[in-house]
Amino acid sequence: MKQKLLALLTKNPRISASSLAKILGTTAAKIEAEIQKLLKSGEIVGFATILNSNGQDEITAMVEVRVTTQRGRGFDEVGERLAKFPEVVNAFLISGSHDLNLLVKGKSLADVANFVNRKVAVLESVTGTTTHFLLKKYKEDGLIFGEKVSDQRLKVSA
Amino acid sequence: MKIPSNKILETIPPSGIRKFFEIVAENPDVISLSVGEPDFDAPWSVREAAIAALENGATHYSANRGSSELRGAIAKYFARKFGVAYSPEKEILVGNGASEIFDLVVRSVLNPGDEVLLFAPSYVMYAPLVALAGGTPIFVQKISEIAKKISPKTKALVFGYPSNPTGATFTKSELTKIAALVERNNLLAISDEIYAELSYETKHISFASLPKMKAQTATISGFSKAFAMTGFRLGYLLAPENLVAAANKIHQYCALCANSISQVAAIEALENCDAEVAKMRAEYKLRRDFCVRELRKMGFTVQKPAGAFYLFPNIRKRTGLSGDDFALNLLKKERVAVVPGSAFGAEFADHIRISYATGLAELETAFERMAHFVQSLK
Repeated sequence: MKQKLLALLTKNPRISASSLAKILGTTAAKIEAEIQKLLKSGEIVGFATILNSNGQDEITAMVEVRVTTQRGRGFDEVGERLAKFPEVVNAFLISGSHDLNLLVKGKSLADVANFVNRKVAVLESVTGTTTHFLLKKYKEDGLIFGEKVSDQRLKVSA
Repeated sequence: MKIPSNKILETIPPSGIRKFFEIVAENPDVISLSVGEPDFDAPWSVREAAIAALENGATHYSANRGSSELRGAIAKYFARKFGVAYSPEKEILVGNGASEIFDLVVRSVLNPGDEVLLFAPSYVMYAPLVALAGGTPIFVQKISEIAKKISPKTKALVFGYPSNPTGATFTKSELTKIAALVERNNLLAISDEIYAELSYETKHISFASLPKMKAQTATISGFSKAFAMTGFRLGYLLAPENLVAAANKIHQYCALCANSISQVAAIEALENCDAEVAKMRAEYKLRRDFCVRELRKMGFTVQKPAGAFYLFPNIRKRTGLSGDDFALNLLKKERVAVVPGSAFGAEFADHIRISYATGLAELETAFERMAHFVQSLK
Protein backbone atom coordinates (compact mmCIF):
# COMPACT_ATOMS: atom_id res chain seq x y z
CA MET A 1 0.00 0.00 0.00
CA LYS A 2 2.82 2.44 0.82
CA GLN A 3 4.19 2.54 -2.74
CA LYS A 4 0.74 3.00 -4.26
CA LEU A 5 -0.09 5.70 -1.71
CA LEU A 6 3.14 7.58 -2.42
CA ALA A 7 2.51 7.38 -6.17
CA LEU A 8 -1.00 8.76 -5.81
CA LEU A 9 0.12 11.56 -3.47
CA THR A 10 2.98 12.52 -5.76
CA LYS A 11 0.56 12.85 -8.63
CA ASN A 12 -1.99 14.83 -6.63
CA PRO A 13 -1.10 16.05 -3.12
CA ARG A 14 -4.62 17.43 -2.68
CA ILE A 15 -6.36 14.07 -3.10
CA SER A 16 -8.58 13.47 -0.09
CA ALA A 17 -8.08 10.68 2.41
CA SER A 18 -11.52 9.35 1.55
CA SER A 19 -10.68 9.13 -2.17
CA LEU A 20 -7.40 7.41 -1.36
CA ALA A 21 -9.25 4.99 0.88
CA LYS A 22 -11.66 4.09 -1.93
CA ILE A 23 -8.92 3.67 -4.49
CA LEU A 24 -6.75 1.55 -2.22
CA GLY A 25 -9.58 -0.36 -0.60
CA THR A 26 -9.02 0.73 2.98
CA THR A 27 -10.38 3.30 5.44
CA ALA A 28 -9.72 7.04 5.55
CA ALA A 29 -8.43 6.68 9.12
CA LYS A 30 -5.79 4.18 8.02
CA ILE A 31 -4.76 6.48 5.16
CA GLU A 32 -4.39 9.42 7.55
CA ALA A 33 -2.34 7.32 9.94
CA GLU A 34 -0.08 6.11 7.12
CA ILE A 35 0.50 9.67 5.84
CA GLN A 36 1.33 10.87 9.36
CA LYS A 37 3.78 7.98 9.72
CA LEU A 38 5.45 8.85 6.41
CA LEU A 39 5.71 12.53 7.39
CA LYS A 40 7.16 11.63 10.76
CA SER A 41 9.73 9.25 9.31
CA GLY A 42 10.71 11.91 6.76
CA GLU A 43 9.87 9.80 3.74
CA ILE A 44 7.41 12.51 2.79
CA VAL A 45 9.21 15.82 3.27
CA GLY A 46 6.24 18.01 2.44
CA PHE A 47 3.58 18.90 -0.11
CA ALA A 48 4.28 21.62 -2.65
CA THR A 49 2.05 23.78 -4.83
CA ILE A 50 3.36 24.54 -8.29
CA LEU A 51 2.47 28.03 -9.53
CA ASN A 52 2.36 29.04 -13.15
CA SER A 53 4.14 32.29 -12.30
CA ASN A 54 6.61 32.29 -15.21
CA GLY A 55 8.51 35.30 -13.94
CA GLN A 56 5.64 37.72 -13.55
CA ASP A 57 6.11 38.59 -9.89
CA GLU A 58 9.32 36.87 -9.06
CA ILE A 59 12.72 36.25 -10.50
CA THR A 60 14.29 32.83 -10.51
CA ALA A 61 17.93 32.00 -11.10
CA MET A 62 20.00 28.85 -11.34
CA VAL A 63 23.19 29.54 -9.46
CA GLU A 64 26.23 27.36 -10.04
CA VAL A 65 28.51 27.37 -7.04
CA ARG A 66 32.12 26.15 -7.08
CA VAL A 67 33.39 25.10 -3.71
CA THR A 68 36.78 24.29 -2.29
CA THR A 69 36.72 21.73 0.45
CA GLN A 70 39.10 21.75 3.36
CA ARG A 71 39.82 19.18 6.01
CA GLY A 72 36.82 18.94 8.25
CA ARG A 73 34.72 21.06 5.94
CA GLY A 74 33.11 18.97 3.23
CA PHE A 75 30.45 19.86 0.70
CA ASP A 76 27.78 19.13 3.25
CA GLU A 77 28.74 22.00 5.45
CA VAL A 78 28.40 24.62 2.77
CA GLY A 79 25.44 22.87 1.16
CA GLU A 80 23.51 22.74 4.41
CA ARG A 81 24.37 26.35 5.19
CA LEU A 82 23.17 27.62 1.83
CA ALA A 83 20.02 25.52 2.05
CA LYS A 84 18.97 27.44 5.17
CA PHE A 85 18.48 30.71 3.26
CA PRO A 86 14.81 31.21 2.44
CA GLU A 87 15.84 32.60 -0.97
CA VAL A 88 17.24 29.17 -1.89
CA VAL A 89 14.42 26.96 -3.17
CA ASN A 90 16.50 23.99 -4.30
CA ALA A 91 20.04 23.10 -3.35
CA PHE A 92 21.75 20.13 -4.98
CA LEU A 93 25.28 18.75 -4.85
CA ILE A 94 26.08 17.62 -8.38
CA SER A 95 28.90 16.17 -10.42
CA GLY A 96 30.57 18.07 -13.25
CA SER A 97 32.03 21.51 -13.78
CA HIS A 98 30.67 22.96 -10.56
CA ASP A 99 29.65 21.55 -7.21
CA LEU A 100 26.41 23.00 -5.93
CA ASN A 101 23.41 23.94 -7.97
CA LEU A 102 21.01 26.38 -6.33
CA LEU A 103 17.60 27.55 -7.44
CA VAL A 104 17.23 31.03 -6.01
CA LYS A 105 14.11 33.19 -5.99
CA GLY A 106 13.77 36.93 -5.42
CA LYS A 107 11.52 39.88 -6.20
CA SER A 108 13.85 41.47 -8.76
CA LEU A 109 17.06 40.85 -10.68
CA ALA A 110 18.86 43.09 -8.19
CA ASP A 111 17.40 41.13 -5.32
CA VAL A 112 18.78 37.84 -6.64
CA ALA A 113 22.11 39.37 -7.68
CA ASN A 114 22.55 40.91 -4.24
CA PHE A 115 21.75 37.65 -2.54
CA VAL A 116 24.34 35.80 -4.61
CA ASN A 117 27.00 38.48 -4.10
CA ARG A 118 26.43 39.13 -0.42
CA LYS A 119 25.41 35.76 0.92
CA VAL A 120 26.80 33.07 -1.37
CA ALA A 121 29.99 34.39 -3.00
CA VAL A 122 31.36 35.66 0.28
CA LEU A 123 31.46 32.29 1.96
CA GLU A 124 35.00 31.22 2.65
CA SER A 125 34.77 27.90 0.85
CA VAL A 126 33.01 29.32 -2.23
CA THR A 127 35.52 29.95 -5.01
CA GLY A 128 33.13 31.16 -7.66
CA THR A 129 29.52 31.48 -8.81
CA THR A 130 27.71 31.73 -12.12
CA THR A 131 24.15 32.98 -12.16
CA HIS A 132 21.68 32.05 -14.91
CA PHE A 133 18.39 33.92 -14.82
CA LEU A 134 15.39 31.84 -15.75
CA LEU A 135 13.50 33.09 -18.80
CA LYS A 136 10.64 30.63 -19.18
CA LYS A 137 9.38 27.43 -17.62
CA TYR A 138 8.12 24.60 -19.79
CA LYS A 139 7.88 21.86 -17.21
CA GLU A 140 8.30 21.66 -13.46
CA ASP A 141 8.17 18.58 -11.24
CA GLY A 142 6.64 16.54 -14.02
CA LEU A 143 3.95 19.07 -14.85
CA ILE A 144 3.92 20.70 -18.25
CA PHE A 145 2.96 24.38 -18.28
CA GLY A 146 0.04 25.47 -20.40
CA GLU A 147 -0.90 21.90 -21.28
CA LYS A 148 -4.62 21.51 -21.79
CA VAL A 149 -6.03 18.23 -20.58
CA SER A 150 -8.97 17.40 -22.78
CA ASP A 151 -10.36 14.02 -23.72
CA GLN A 152 -10.36 13.80 -27.49
CA ARG A 153 -11.91 10.35 -27.64
CA LEU A 154 -15.36 9.48 -28.95
CA LYS A 155 -17.75 9.18 -26.00
CA VAL A 156 -18.74 5.64 -26.95
CA SER A 157 -16.68 3.14 -28.92
CA ALA A 158 -16.52 -0.61 -29.35
CA MET B 1 -31.79 5.38 -59.68
CA LYS B 2 -31.95 3.00 -56.79
CA ILE B 3 -28.46 2.43 -55.47
CA PRO B 4 -27.80 -1.30 -55.57
CA SER B 5 -27.14 -2.91 -52.22
CA ASN B 6 -25.36 -5.94 -50.87
CA LYS B 7 -27.80 -8.63 -49.71
CA ILE B 8 -25.58 -9.81 -46.87
CA LEU B 9 -25.06 -6.26 -45.62
CA GLU B 10 -28.83 -5.78 -45.49
CA THR B 11 -29.10 -8.65 -43.01
CA ILE B 12 -26.54 -7.14 -40.65
CA PRO B 13 -28.20 -4.98 -37.98
CA PRO B 14 -26.74 -1.54 -37.27
CA SER B 15 -24.16 -1.53 -34.50
CA GLY B 16 -25.66 -1.31 -31.01
CA ILE B 17 -22.61 0.64 -29.96
CA ARG B 18 -23.27 3.21 -32.68
CA LYS B 19 -26.91 3.55 -31.61
CA PHE B 20 -25.88 4.23 -28.04
CA PHE B 21 -23.19 6.64 -29.20
CA GLU B 22 -25.88 8.80 -30.78
CA ILE B 23 -27.88 8.91 -27.55
CA VAL B 24 -24.80 9.79 -25.49
CA ALA B 25 -23.74 12.46 -27.98
CA GLU B 26 -27.00 14.33 -27.28
CA ASN B 27 -26.05 14.55 -23.61
CA PRO B 28 -23.03 16.75 -23.05
CA ASP B 29 -21.46 16.77 -19.61
CA VAL B 30 -21.57 13.00 -19.14
CA ILE B 31 -18.85 10.87 -17.64
CA SER B 32 -18.36 8.18 -20.21
CA LEU B 33 -17.45 4.67 -19.12
CA SER B 34 -18.29 3.53 -22.66
CA VAL B 35 -15.00 4.12 -24.38
CA GLY B 36 -13.19 1.18 -25.96
CA GLU B 37 -9.79 2.83 -26.11
CA PRO B 38 -7.11 3.89 -23.62
CA ASP B 39 -7.45 7.32 -22.02
CA PHE B 40 -3.66 7.67 -22.14
CA ASP B 41 -2.12 9.38 -25.13
CA ALA B 42 0.47 7.41 -27.06
CA PRO B 43 3.90 7.57 -25.36
CA TRP B 44 5.72 10.77 -26.27
CA SER B 45 8.70 8.89 -27.72
CA VAL B 46 6.29 7.19 -30.14
CA ARG B 47 4.80 10.53 -31.17
CA GLU B 48 8.29 11.98 -31.48
CA ALA B 49 9.23 9.07 -33.75
CA ALA B 50 6.18 9.83 -35.91
CA ILE B 51 7.19 13.50 -36.17
CA ALA B 52 10.73 12.52 -37.11
CA ALA B 53 9.34 10.06 -39.67
CA LEU B 54 7.44 12.88 -41.35
CA GLU B 55 10.50 15.11 -41.28
CA ASN B 56 12.55 12.34 -42.82
CA GLY B 57 10.09 11.90 -45.64
CA ALA B 58 8.19 8.74 -44.66
CA THR B 59 5.44 9.92 -46.97
CA HIS B 60 5.48 7.02 -49.41
CA TYR B 61 3.98 3.55 -49.72
CA SER B 62 5.71 0.82 -47.79
CA ALA B 63 5.91 -2.82 -48.85
CA ASN B 64 2.40 -4.32 -48.92
CA ARG B 65 3.19 -6.52 -45.95
CA GLY B 66 4.57 -3.60 -43.97
CA SER B 67 8.14 -2.31 -43.85
CA SER B 68 10.72 -5.01 -43.31
CA GLU B 69 12.06 -3.05 -40.29
CA LEU B 70 8.65 -3.14 -38.59
CA ARG B 71 8.08 -6.81 -39.41
CA GLY B 72 11.49 -7.55 -37.94
CA ALA B 73 10.64 -5.58 -34.80
CA ILE B 74 7.30 -7.40 -34.45
CA ALA B 75 9.03 -10.79 -34.74
CA LYS B 76 11.56 -9.85 -32.05
CA TYR B 77 8.88 -8.40 -29.77
CA PHE B 78 6.56 -11.40 -30.06
CA ALA B 79 9.36 -13.87 -29.43
CA ARG B 80 10.58 -11.84 -26.44
CA LYS B 81 7.12 -11.41 -24.88
CA PHE B 82 5.30 -14.60 -25.75
CA GLY B 83 7.95 -17.04 -26.86
CA VAL B 84 6.69 -17.68 -30.39
CA ALA B 85 9.06 -17.15 -33.34
CA TYR B 86 7.66 -15.87 -36.65
CA SER B 87 9.53 -15.23 -39.87
CA PRO B 88 9.42 -11.49 -40.68
CA GLU B 89 9.63 -12.32 -44.39
CA LYS B 90 6.92 -14.94 -44.59
CA GLU B 91 4.70 -15.08 -41.53
CA ILE B 92 3.90 -11.46 -40.66
CA LEU B 93 1.50 -8.98 -42.28
CA VAL B 94 0.96 -5.41 -41.07
CA GLY B 95 -2.43 -3.79 -41.70
CA ASN B 96 -4.64 -0.90 -40.71
CA GLY B 97 -5.60 -2.14 -37.28
CA ALA B 98 -6.61 -5.54 -35.93
CA SER B 99 -10.07 -5.15 -37.48
CA GLU B 100 -8.71 -5.01 -41.03
CA ILE B 101 -6.52 -7.99 -40.23
CA PHE B 102 -9.52 -9.97 -39.01
CA ASP B 103 -11.41 -9.06 -42.18
CA LEU B 104 -8.48 -10.21 -44.33
CA VAL B 105 -8.22 -13.53 -42.50
CA VAL B 106 -11.89 -14.47 -42.78
CA ARG B 107 -12.02 -13.38 -46.43
CA SER B 108 -8.92 -15.46 -47.11
CA VAL B 109 -10.27 -18.69 -45.65
CA LEU B 110 -14.07 -18.72 -46.03
CA ASN B 111 -16.33 -19.88 -48.84
CA PRO B 112 -20.10 -19.29 -48.93
CA GLY B 113 -21.83 -21.53 -46.42
CA ASP B 114 -18.79 -22.15 -44.24
CA GLU B 115 -19.40 -21.91 -40.52
CA VAL B 116 -17.27 -20.05 -38.01
CA LEU B 117 -17.54 -20.59 -34.29
CA LEU B 118 -17.35 -17.39 -32.23
CA PHE B 119 -17.12 -17.02 -28.50
CA ALA B 120 -19.87 -14.79 -27.15
CA PRO B 121 -19.94 -12.19 -25.87
CA SER B 122 -17.13 -10.89 -28.00
CA TYR B 123 -15.89 -7.89 -29.85
CA VAL B 124 -18.68 -6.56 -32.07
CA MET B 125 -16.88 -6.76 -35.40
CA TYR B 126 -16.29 -10.51 -35.60
CA ALA B 127 -19.79 -11.67 -36.59
CA PRO B 128 -20.53 -9.00 -39.23
CA LEU B 129 -17.15 -9.52 -40.90
CA VAL B 130 -17.62 -13.30 -40.93
CA ALA B 131 -21.05 -12.79 -42.52
CA LEU B 132 -19.69 -10.34 -45.12
CA ALA B 133 -17.03 -12.91 -46.01
CA GLY B 134 -19.85 -15.36 -46.80
CA GLY B 135 -19.54 -17.33 -43.58
CA THR B 136 -22.17 -18.16 -40.97
CA PRO B 137 -21.30 -17.16 -37.43
CA ILE B 138 -22.23 -19.77 -34.82
CA PHE B 139 -21.99 -18.63 -31.21
CA VAL B 140 -20.71 -20.56 -28.21
CA GLN B 141 -20.48 -19.28 -24.66
CA LYS B 142 -18.40 -22.06 -23.11
CA ILE B 143 -15.57 -24.29 -24.22
CA SER B 144 -17.77 -27.30 -23.43
CA GLU B 145 -20.25 -26.17 -26.11
CA ILE B 146 -17.70 -26.13 -28.92
CA ALA B 147 -17.73 -29.85 -29.73
CA LYS B 148 -21.53 -29.92 -30.09
CA LYS B 149 -21.56 -26.97 -32.48
CA ILE B 150 -18.87 -28.28 -34.82
CA SER B 151 -20.22 -29.48 -38.17
CA PRO B 152 -18.50 -30.57 -41.39
CA LYS B 153 -18.91 -26.94 -42.50
CA THR B 154 -16.97 -25.49 -39.56
CA LYS B 155 -13.77 -23.89 -40.77
CA ALA B 156 -12.57 -21.71 -37.94
CA LEU B 157 -12.88 -20.91 -34.26
CA VAL B 158 -12.59 -17.26 -33.21
CA PHE B 159 -11.74 -16.10 -29.71
CA GLY B 160 -10.26 -12.98 -28.16
CA TYR B 161 -8.56 -12.94 -24.80
CA PRO B 162 -8.31 -10.98 -22.58
CA SER B 163 -11.82 -10.26 -23.77
CA ASN B 164 -13.67 -7.19 -24.82
CA PRO B 165 -16.34 -6.92 -23.29
CA THR B 166 -15.78 -9.16 -20.25
CA GLY B 167 -12.09 -8.69 -19.40
CA ALA B 168 -11.86 -12.46 -18.87
CA THR B 169 -8.93 -14.45 -20.13
CA PHE B 170 -8.27 -18.16 -20.70
CA THR B 171 -6.19 -20.25 -18.33
CA LYS B 172 -3.55 -22.66 -19.58
CA SER B 173 -5.88 -25.61 -19.08
CA GLU B 174 -8.71 -23.90 -20.96
CA LEU B 175 -6.35 -23.10 -23.83
CA THR B 176 -5.18 -26.70 -23.88
CA LYS B 177 -8.80 -27.87 -24.19
CA ILE B 178 -9.41 -25.45 -27.05
CA ALA B 179 -6.20 -26.58 -28.73
CA ALA B 180 -7.31 -30.23 -28.56
CA LEU B 181 -10.60 -29.33 -30.27
CA VAL B 182 -8.83 -27.24 -32.89
CA GLU B 183 -6.43 -30.07 -33.67
CA ARG B 184 -8.98 -32.89 -33.66
CA ASN B 185 -11.38 -31.02 -35.95
CA ASN B 186 -8.77 -29.49 -38.19
CA LEU B 187 -9.94 -25.91 -37.56
CA LEU B 188 -8.17 -22.63 -38.05
CA ALA B 189 -7.88 -20.87 -34.70
CA ILE B 190 -8.27 -17.11 -35.03
CA SER B 191 -6.86 -15.75 -31.81
CA ASP B 192 -7.32 -12.04 -31.16
CA GLU B 193 -4.67 -11.14 -28.59
CA ILE B 194 -4.73 -7.37 -28.86
CA TYR B 195 -5.23 -7.01 -25.08
CA ALA B 196 -2.37 -9.40 -24.24
CA GLU B 197 -0.21 -6.71 -22.61
CA LEU B 198 -3.10 -5.76 -20.35
CA SER B 199 -3.06 -8.97 -18.30
CA TYR B 200 -2.92 -8.25 -14.58
CA GLU B 201 -2.18 -11.25 -12.39
CA THR B 202 -1.18 -13.88 -14.91
CA LYS B 203 1.18 -13.72 -17.83
CA HIS B 204 -0.58 -13.90 -21.18
CA ILE B 205 -0.16 -17.24 -22.94
CA SER B 206 -0.28 -16.90 -26.70
CA PHE B 207 -2.39 -19.61 -28.32
CA ALA B 208 0.26 -20.27 -30.95
CA SER B 209 2.74 -21.15 -28.19
CA LEU B 210 0.79 -24.32 -27.41
CA PRO B 211 2.17 -27.54 -28.91
CA LYS B 212 1.36 -27.90 -32.66
CA MET B 213 -0.86 -24.79 -32.63
CA LYS B 214 1.38 -22.37 -34.52
CA ALA B 215 0.61 -24.14 -37.80
CA GLN B 216 -3.14 -23.85 -37.18
CA THR B 217 -3.40 -20.36 -35.75
CA ALA B 218 -3.91 -16.87 -37.07
CA THR B 219 -2.78 -14.59 -34.23
CA ILE B 220 -4.12 -11.05 -34.46
CA SER B 221 -2.69 -8.17 -32.50
CA GLY B 222 -1.95 -4.48 -32.82
CA PHE B 223 -0.74 -1.31 -31.22
CA SER B 224 -3.98 0.31 -30.07
CA LYS B 225 -4.42 -1.14 -26.61
CA ALA B 226 -0.93 -1.96 -25.32
CA PHE B 227 0.66 1.26 -26.56
CA ALA B 228 -2.41 3.52 -26.57
CA MET B 229 -1.98 4.09 -30.32
CA THR B 230 -5.59 3.75 -31.52
CA GLY B 231 -5.42 6.66 -33.94
CA PHE B 232 -2.27 5.29 -35.59
CA ARG B 233 -4.43 2.47 -37.03
CA LEU B 234 -1.94 -0.35 -37.00
CA GLY B 235 -2.42 -4.07 -36.44
CA TYR B 236 -0.71 -7.26 -37.52
CA LEU B 237 -1.22 -10.87 -38.41
CA LEU B 238 1.07 -13.71 -37.38
CA ALA B 239 0.17 -16.86 -39.27
CA PRO B 240 1.41 -19.68 -41.49
CA GLU B 241 3.06 -18.54 -44.71
CA ASN B 242 0.20 -19.44 -47.08
CA LEU B 243 -2.41 -17.62 -44.99
CA VAL B 244 -0.24 -14.50 -44.76
CA ALA B 245 0.24 -14.64 -48.55
CA ALA B 246 -3.52 -14.95 -49.13
CA ALA B 247 -4.36 -12.14 -46.70
CA ASN B 248 -1.70 -9.97 -48.29
CA LYS B 249 -3.29 -10.53 -51.70
CA ILE B 250 -6.52 -8.90 -50.46
CA HIS B 251 -4.64 -6.27 -48.44
CA GLN B 252 -2.61 -5.13 -51.44
CA TYR B 253 -5.78 -4.56 -53.47
CA CYS B 254 -7.96 -2.97 -50.79
CA ALA B 255 -5.47 -1.11 -48.62
CA LEU B 256 -2.11 -1.31 -50.40
CA CYS B 257 -0.18 -0.79 -47.21
CA ALA B 258 -0.58 0.53 -43.69
CA ASN B 259 0.28 4.14 -42.88
CA SER B 260 4.04 4.59 -43.31
CA ILE B 261 4.38 7.18 -40.53
CA SER B 262 2.59 4.90 -38.09
CA GLN B 263 4.87 2.04 -39.07
CA VAL B 264 7.97 4.02 -38.07
CA ALA B 265 6.37 5.05 -34.78
CA ALA B 266 5.38 1.45 -34.07
CA ILE B 267 9.01 0.32 -34.08
CA GLU B 268 9.72 2.76 -31.26
CA ALA B 269 6.73 1.36 -29.35
CA LEU B 270 7.93 -2.23 -29.68
CA GLU B 271 11.56 -1.55 -28.87
CA ASN B 272 11.55 1.20 -26.23
CA CYS B 273 8.20 1.41 -24.45
CA ASP B 274 8.16 -1.45 -21.94
CA ALA B 275 8.26 0.99 -19.03
CA GLU B 276 5.40 3.08 -20.42
CA VAL B 277 3.32 -0.04 -20.95
CA ALA B 278 4.05 -1.21 -17.40
CA LYS B 279 2.97 2.17 -16.04
CA MET B 280 -0.33 2.04 -17.89
CA ARG B 281 -0.90 -1.56 -16.85
CA ALA B 282 -0.36 -0.67 -13.16
CA GLU B 283 -2.81 2.22 -13.45
CA TYR B 284 -5.50 0.04 -15.09
CA LYS B 285 -5.04 -2.56 -12.37
CA LEU B 286 -5.56 0.01 -9.63
CA ARG B 287 -8.72 1.19 -11.38
CA ARG B 288 -9.99 -2.35 -11.91
CA ASP B 289 -9.66 -3.14 -8.21
CA PHE B 290 -11.46 0.11 -7.35
CA CYS B 291 -14.33 -0.61 -9.78
CA VAL B 292 -14.80 -4.19 -8.59
CA ARG B 293 -14.94 -3.08 -4.94
CA GLU B 294 -17.41 -0.29 -5.69
CA LEU B 295 -19.69 -2.59 -7.71
CA ARG B 296 -19.65 -5.18 -4.94
CA LYS B 297 -20.55 -2.46 -2.41
CA MET B 298 -23.58 -1.70 -4.57
CA GLY B 299 -24.61 -5.34 -4.31
CA PHE B 300 -23.55 -6.61 -7.73
CA THR B 301 -21.90 -9.98 -8.16
CA VAL B 302 -18.68 -9.36 -10.07
CA GLN B 303 -15.74 -11.57 -10.96
CA LYS B 304 -12.45 -9.75 -10.96
CA PRO B 305 -11.49 -9.63 -14.67
CA ALA B 306 -7.97 -10.80 -15.51
CA GLY B 307 -7.25 -8.30 -18.25
CA ALA B 308 -8.29 -5.58 -20.73
CA PHE B 309 -10.14 -2.60 -19.21
CA TYR B 310 -13.73 -3.78 -19.04
CA LEU B 311 -16.25 -5.15 -16.59
CA PHE B 312 -19.40 -6.88 -17.79
CA PRO B 313 -21.67 -7.32 -14.77
CA ASN B 314 -25.18 -8.75 -14.86
CA ILE B 315 -27.26 -5.91 -13.42
CA ARG B 316 -30.71 -7.56 -13.69
CA LYS B 317 -30.29 -9.73 -10.57
CA ARG B 318 -29.60 -6.74 -8.36
CA THR B 319 -31.78 -4.07 -9.98
CA GLY B 320 -34.49 -5.87 -11.95
CA LEU B 321 -33.60 -3.69 -14.94
CA SER B 322 -32.44 -4.72 -18.38
CA GLY B 323 -29.05 -3.44 -19.50
CA ASP B 324 -30.79 -1.05 -21.92
CA ASP B 325 -33.02 0.46 -19.21
CA PHE B 326 -30.14 0.62 -16.74
CA ALA B 327 -27.89 2.39 -19.24
CA LEU B 328 -30.57 4.83 -20.45
CA ASN B 329 -31.72 5.78 -16.96
CA LEU B 330 -28.21 6.05 -15.59
CA LEU B 331 -27.40 8.38 -18.46
CA LYS B 332 -30.52 10.51 -18.01
CA LYS B 333 -30.57 10.68 -14.22
CA GLU B 334 -26.89 10.62 -13.32
CA ARG B 335 -25.09 11.54 -16.56
CA VAL B 336 -22.92 8.43 -16.59
CA ALA B 337 -22.64 6.41 -19.80
CA VAL B 338 -22.14 2.64 -19.87
CA VAL B 339 -22.80 0.36 -22.86
CA PRO B 340 -25.87 -1.88 -22.65
CA GLY B 341 -24.98 -5.57 -22.93
CA SER B 342 -27.46 -5.95 -25.82
CA ALA B 343 -24.83 -4.31 -28.04
CA PHE B 344 -22.92 -7.60 -27.69
CA GLY B 345 -25.90 -9.86 -28.46
CA ALA B 346 -29.48 -10.38 -27.28
CA GLU B 347 -28.32 -13.04 -24.77
CA PHE B 348 -26.46 -10.33 -22.86
CA ALA B 349 -29.37 -7.94 -22.47
CA ASP B 350 -29.07 -8.19 -18.67
CA HIS B 351 -25.49 -6.94 -18.65
CA ILE B 352 -23.72 -3.63 -19.01
CA ARG B 353 -20.16 -3.02 -20.16
CA ILE B 354 -18.17 -0.66 -18.01
CA SER B 355 -14.86 0.59 -19.37
CA TYR B 356 -12.33 1.80 -16.83
CA ALA B 357 -10.17 3.54 -19.41
CA THR B 358 -10.93 6.74 -17.50
CA GLY B 359 -8.96 8.58 -14.81
CA LEU B 360 -9.48 7.63 -11.15
CA ALA B 361 -10.96 11.00 -10.19
CA GLU B 362 -13.67 10.66 -12.85
CA LEU B 363 -14.21 6.99 -12.01
CA GLU B 364 -14.80 7.92 -8.39
CA THR B 365 -17.47 10.47 -9.34
CA ALA B 366 -19.03 8.07 -11.84
CA PHE B 367 -19.31 5.28 -9.28
CA GLU B 368 -20.75 7.66 -6.66
CA ARG B 369 -23.41 8.59 -9.18
CA MET B 370 -24.01 4.97 -10.09
CA ALA B 371 -24.39 4.03 -6.41
CA HIS B 372 -26.88 6.88 -6.00
CA PHE B 373 -28.82 5.59 -9.02
CA VAL B 374 -28.86 1.98 -7.76
CA GLN B 375 -29.94 3.21 -4.32
CA SER B 376 -32.85 5.12 -5.86
CA LEU B 377 -34.21 1.93 -7.44
CA LYS B 378 -35.09 0.37 -4.10
